[in-house]
Amino acid sequence: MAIFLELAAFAVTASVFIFGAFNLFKKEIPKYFKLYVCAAGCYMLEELWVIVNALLGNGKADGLSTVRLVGIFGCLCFMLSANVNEFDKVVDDGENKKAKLLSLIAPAILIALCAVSVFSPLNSMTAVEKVMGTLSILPALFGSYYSLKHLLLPEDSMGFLRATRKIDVLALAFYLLTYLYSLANLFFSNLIMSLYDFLITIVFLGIIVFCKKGANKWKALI
Amino acid sequence: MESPDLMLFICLAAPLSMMLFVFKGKSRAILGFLLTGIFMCLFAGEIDGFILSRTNLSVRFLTVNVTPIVEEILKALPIVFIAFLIKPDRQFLLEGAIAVGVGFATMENACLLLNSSVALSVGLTVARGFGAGMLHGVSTLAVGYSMTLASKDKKLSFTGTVAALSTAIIYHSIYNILVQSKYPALGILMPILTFIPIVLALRRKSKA
Repeated sequence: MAIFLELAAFAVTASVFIFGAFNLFKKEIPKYFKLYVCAAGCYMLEELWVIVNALLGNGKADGLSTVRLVGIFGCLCFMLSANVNEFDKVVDDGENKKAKLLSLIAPAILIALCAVSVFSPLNSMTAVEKVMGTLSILPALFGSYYSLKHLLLPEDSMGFLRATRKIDVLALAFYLLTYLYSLANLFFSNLIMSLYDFLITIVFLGIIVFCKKGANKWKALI
Repeated sequence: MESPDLMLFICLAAPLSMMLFVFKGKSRAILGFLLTGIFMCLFAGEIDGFILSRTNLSVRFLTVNVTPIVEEILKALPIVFIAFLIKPDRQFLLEGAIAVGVGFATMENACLLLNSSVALSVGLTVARGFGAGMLHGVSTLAVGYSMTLASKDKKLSFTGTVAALSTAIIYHSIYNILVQSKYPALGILMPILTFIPIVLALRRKSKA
């Protein structure tokens, strides 16, 4: 059953990537949106790896492995890249200190979730696995800071933030679900975790759909 | 007894390195990248051998979970080094990245032929030659492409390069699973299906 859910997750991510690649990999589309499509591509490869490893590599469809963690890490790095480029310089003039300070709440929540998961007596992972698992989701800490900051900042004169607000909300949900995954892993069966994994994929679908809408809004602004 | 891989490396690298004194400018640089790729393959092989001898990991586990990480990091190192040190133009960096990947694939294919225990056919060798060449070319190209952003945005180049490297690792691991499975043709097909559209897109972009 887990493999069917992974197949469904792969089908969704592959569709998301193809949709994004055809609609957003154009010269006039800003890098911000293109990097989210790259994140979708990396996530698609991670899902493909799980399926290929389960069907042809004698692996399991559930659970984490080094390469799967690398895939998640890459996806989160692409999402972070979307927020740290010139887009951040355009929308944040550095004046709004309050928004910057409040944005630290997002990584603080993620750190708390991670600490609960790592130090839980229910966690049977080895120290190395815990360290690798934690490192793989590290970019989400920085990504969540930027996403929350862009949500808290007032509208910029060009209206760029208006075009990306929904993406930031979904990105925050994605980061939160990624961190909750390791916590939920302690309590639920592998089947429920595969279902959970599928739900994360649906959030990604939302991100790319809003990227398309955001890119259209952005084009109208320029 | 000396390692046969080392001897193979000398056989490949010695005549090529002599050309470094003949070639000039861009040709010399690309040849240098190619030689670096060949050397990195030898180094990666040594690291993999070391890990295999010191741990209880099976060859299959190693090639799926460890080898892609080691190889992709080693192939990316010269590109990252050149991008930060010399800050070359985009086209040079992309060509250099492909040259490192192709050099790596050349040495890997030669080692495979030397150490292969199964009967090899011309068809299999052709498929393996193109498949591995394209795999290493595409994966190093991804890192090279992300490095082209280095001149524009430092923060972006760092996160982007790490992200591209992660993608290359997972792509490489999928290839390794497929070529060792019951359907190795799928593994050989994968880099071909990705290499052709990427090269076509790059050619179109450079013409525009």
